[in-house]
Amino acid sequence: MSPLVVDKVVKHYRQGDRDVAALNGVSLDVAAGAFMAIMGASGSGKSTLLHLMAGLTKCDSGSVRVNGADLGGMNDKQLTLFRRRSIGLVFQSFNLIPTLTAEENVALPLMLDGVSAQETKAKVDELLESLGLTKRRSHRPDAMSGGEQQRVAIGRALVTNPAVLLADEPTGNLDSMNSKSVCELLRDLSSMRNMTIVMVTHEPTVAAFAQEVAVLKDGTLVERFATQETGDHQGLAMRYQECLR
Amino acid sequence: MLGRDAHSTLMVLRKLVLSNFSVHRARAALTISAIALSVSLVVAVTTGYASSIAAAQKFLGFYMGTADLSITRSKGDPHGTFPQSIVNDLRADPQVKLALIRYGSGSLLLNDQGKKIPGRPVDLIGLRRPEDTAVEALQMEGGKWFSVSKGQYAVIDQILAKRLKLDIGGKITLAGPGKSLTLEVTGIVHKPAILAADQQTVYMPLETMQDFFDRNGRINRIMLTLTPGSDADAFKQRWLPRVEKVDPLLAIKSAGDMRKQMDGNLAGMNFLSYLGGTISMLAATFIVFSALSMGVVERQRTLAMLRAIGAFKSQLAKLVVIEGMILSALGVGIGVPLGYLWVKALATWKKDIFSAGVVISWGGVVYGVLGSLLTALAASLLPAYTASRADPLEAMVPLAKPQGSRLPWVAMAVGLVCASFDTLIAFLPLSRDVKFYGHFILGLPGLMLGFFLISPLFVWYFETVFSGLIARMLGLQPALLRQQLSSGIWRAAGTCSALMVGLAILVVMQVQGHSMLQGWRLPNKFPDIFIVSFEGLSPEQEKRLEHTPGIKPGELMPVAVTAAVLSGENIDIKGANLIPTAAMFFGIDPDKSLKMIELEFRDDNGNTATAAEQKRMNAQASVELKQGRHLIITDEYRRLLGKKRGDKLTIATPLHGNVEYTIAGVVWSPGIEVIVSMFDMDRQFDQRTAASVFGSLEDAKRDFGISDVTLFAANLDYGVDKNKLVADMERESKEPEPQPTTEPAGSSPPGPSSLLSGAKKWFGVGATTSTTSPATMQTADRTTAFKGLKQFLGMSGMQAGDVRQIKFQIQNGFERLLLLLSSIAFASMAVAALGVTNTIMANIRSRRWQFGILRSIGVTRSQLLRLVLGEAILLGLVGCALGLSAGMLMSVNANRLNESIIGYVVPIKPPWAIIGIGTLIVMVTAVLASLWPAASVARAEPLSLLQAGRASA
Repeated sequence: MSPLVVDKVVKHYRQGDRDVAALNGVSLDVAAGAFMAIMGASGSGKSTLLHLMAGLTKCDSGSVRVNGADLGGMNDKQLTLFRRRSIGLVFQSFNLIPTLTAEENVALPLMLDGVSAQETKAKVDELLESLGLTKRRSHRPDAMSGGEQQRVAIGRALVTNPAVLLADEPTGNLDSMNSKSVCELLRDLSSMRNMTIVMVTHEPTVAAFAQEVAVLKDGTLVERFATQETGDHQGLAMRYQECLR
Repeated sequence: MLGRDAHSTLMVLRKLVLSNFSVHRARAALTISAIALSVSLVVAVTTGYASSIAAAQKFLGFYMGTADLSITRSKGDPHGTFPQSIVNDLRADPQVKLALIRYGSGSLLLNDQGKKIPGRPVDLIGLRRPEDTAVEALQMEGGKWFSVSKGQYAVIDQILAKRLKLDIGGKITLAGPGKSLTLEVTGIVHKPAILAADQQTVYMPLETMQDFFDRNGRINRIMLTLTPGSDADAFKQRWLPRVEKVDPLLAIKSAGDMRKQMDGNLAGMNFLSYLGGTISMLAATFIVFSALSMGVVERQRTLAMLRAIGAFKSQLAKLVVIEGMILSALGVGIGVPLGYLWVKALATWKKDIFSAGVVISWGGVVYGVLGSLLTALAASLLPAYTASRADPLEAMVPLAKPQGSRLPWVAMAVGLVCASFDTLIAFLPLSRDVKFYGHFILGLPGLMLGFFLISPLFVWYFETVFSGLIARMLGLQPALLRQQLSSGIWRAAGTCSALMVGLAILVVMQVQGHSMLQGWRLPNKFPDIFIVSFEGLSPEQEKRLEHTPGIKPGELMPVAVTAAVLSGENIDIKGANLIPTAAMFFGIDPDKSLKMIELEFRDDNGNTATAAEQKRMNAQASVELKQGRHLIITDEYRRLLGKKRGDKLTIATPLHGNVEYTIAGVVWSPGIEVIVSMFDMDRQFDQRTAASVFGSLEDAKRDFGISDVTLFAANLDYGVDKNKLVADMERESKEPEPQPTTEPAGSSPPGPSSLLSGAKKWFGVGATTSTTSPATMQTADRTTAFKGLKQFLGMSGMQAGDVRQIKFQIQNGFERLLLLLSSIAFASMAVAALGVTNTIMANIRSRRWQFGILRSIGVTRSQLLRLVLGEAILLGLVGCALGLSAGMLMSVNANRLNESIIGYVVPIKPPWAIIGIGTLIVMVTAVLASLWPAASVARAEPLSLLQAGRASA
């Protein structure tokens, strides 16, 4: 069973006095251990789709299922608990708590869940080591580079062993070097830890790290293809442009 | 039980809170300081009060000895004496270990020239030494106690010694009825300054004092110490019928009764000591609210992220509540010891006042701690709710959403409802009990909360209307100052509300106080002076007094003063112990007094009667009072009692039990009880009294057992020729009069000639001028006549007070008291200053990027400084508007509540000058509190502002 299934979701929202159709019956399923990039122009609905997958908002119709659980049927408390335990979120602007150290930022979801200090420490140690952040564990975000901050954010997303990792423009605030490093990390997580990852991006160079690309246009899924089919990122860029025409 | 999950959650929330404090150190420090300051005020004021009371009680304990029971004539005539022979019977009782007798009175002091020494009269206490050893417990500053019960010796307190520049061996002269007595000081005793500053004491041998006042064999206090294991209450019950046989006005009181009476009398002061701290805590509450609101606004993205990664709404709310509680706990941790240290420092500096050391008021500490924690909890509710509403989607957008400046209409509507509670309670036809408790429990808190919730509207309005004007005044572009407060509307609202508290309290205190003062007007015809004789005058002495030069012939009126306890009337608020059921009873001669006092009679509805009706009512009241057991009551008492003319009042009299009195008339209160309180006539009543009633002198004697009249009202004869006045006095002084008691060797008592020379000096008349002629006649004006009469009476041991001067003194004293009480408001303003600094700092912090850009494009340091000052001026203006509005509304409500609860109706007269000064203080506080953050941002380099701003974006 696919850990993430989106079925005919429709989402409208209001912008001023305008009704905007963000998603018009999008269906998508992501296989276990897959690394999918969602691409689309600004306003295509890709971020809205990610928000629905993360349970941050609810669709008007259709359904979103994560590990078989229908997010639409959950109340706020159930949804919050589900996000905490089953979803890993990575933000464009890292969203680390500036007053906590790297170690504490990573441990935050476990602390919120009341996991014992011993168990938390073991998990955090392991993650920090795998992310290459052991030496930076006691540093606060303002003492770390953008790449390091995003790795800490990824560590925070992974610490609860979520069913899916959802990343919204994770390289949007990074330089090319750090961007590449973060993309490689996500790819490794998918391939080596069998983590299901959905990443929203508008950059072909970033999407090229994924196994699969889904392209949205005006709230509709217009194409879905494997990155292997396009060769390098230039080929992916051309294919993407074609989808948008 | 706290589960593991809950515990872990608390731990992580605490971690988040503490880490937040470590980043916002200045903000946390200022908020903690505000809480600490308010808690320290609660602790300091209540502990200071408890320490002063302990000092007074320690002294009174020494003075009273360790007496278990005390017998006085306190049922109706506390000054009155009774035969001391009863003590022999008491001493024969096997349960009596020690029975001491005392005689207390008062006296004016004379100087070497026989002139009255200015100042209040002293307390005289006659002791039978050496058997009275209780006084030996008092701390001696020098000399020793006299060891005789007869002899011209005295021990005086240290304040009197200092005032008269007396040392051991020095002499003091007491003025008595037609005589004087000089005593040699053998010792100086220490009396706590808090007591001695107001009332100085002279201890003297009992029999000498009895001789001096012609009260041989009479005393006015017996103090009993019982043998161990004796039951004081049973003893009291056994002996009461026996002592009542000797004198029906005698009462036996236990130490507990006296402590209870003292506590009851001081309940008002105790209440005020708590009120002072409460006001400061209220200001601190708004500052905590403001600080927490800042935190929530600044951390919107963090809160949104926490929601996105799985934090419950309740966890975010708890985060804010814990933040408030930790701030409060830290404030309490500092505030409690700080409050104690303040009193300790004061006690070190003013040892006299705190002679019993510092006595911690645990009630005050608990109140401060719990009050602070509870108010912090209350202050965190709205920010906690706001935090819980953080949208997790906020975390997904790359740039923080700018804060909206929309007005919180729902909150303001709720505020309007809350603010109207007090007005509804004041004006709706509810019972007095409901009004009283409703006002304190619902009305006042609702009004403060209501104005706080409405305050965003004030912020928006003043910013919209005045920001342009202030910007121009400060030489700035109006656009720079626009929306500076409304962009963080709740934090500005919190700070302005903190500023509001002090001003509102100042306004309501001053408006209420001044309105009451303005409402007190003397009748057109009222006695010119009141005269107090410390001991009652014999008919002969009274006659001599009536013929004293300067007193208008036939216009001396004896007034018997006592307390009349109403029976079967329940006019107090249930459980409040606010309005005593006793009234001050003035026994008067109806014919004389209703001519000398033009009372304003009221009809059954409290309206002033017409001139013709006045005349009729006056005549009828005079007739009825003469019939006996009739009363004239004041209009406020009529409201309280719900009675009208012709209705009956049952009074529990000491001599005839419950007696029915009929209301003969209702009058506008001339405030006579306030005037006589200047002579301490109400000090020793068993009961506290509310309002005043007028009955006949005969009733006072028959039902209340008043045997000696000590108060006299008189009119001045100030149109007389000064020379004739002196001549009359000369003749008067040559009349035979009782000779002074034995004088110590070498002293020369001031005789008639020295009295006369003193009086002549006052009148400015030459000693040889005794003849008059139309050409040289100098008429004594009112002031001169009173001065001369006062001096003349003083030399005869009587105290005289000019009614108009007394009224002036009372008004002045009351105004000073109002100012002193206003320190509560000023303390609250000091607490609010910390909130202003906090808000300005937060505003600066959130706009460092903007300031960096402004500096980069050429805005000068001075302009930046003025920009921040402009913001402070706006905060001050809003605080003033809120404070004045809340204060005036509270004043209107309080005025109406006064009418319903205590029956007192006065027109509202705001003292605009003082209110203006209070407003200015708020403005200055706001501006001064902003100087430090304003100067800091002005000094900062543009690059550092840009970097700091980017880092926090």
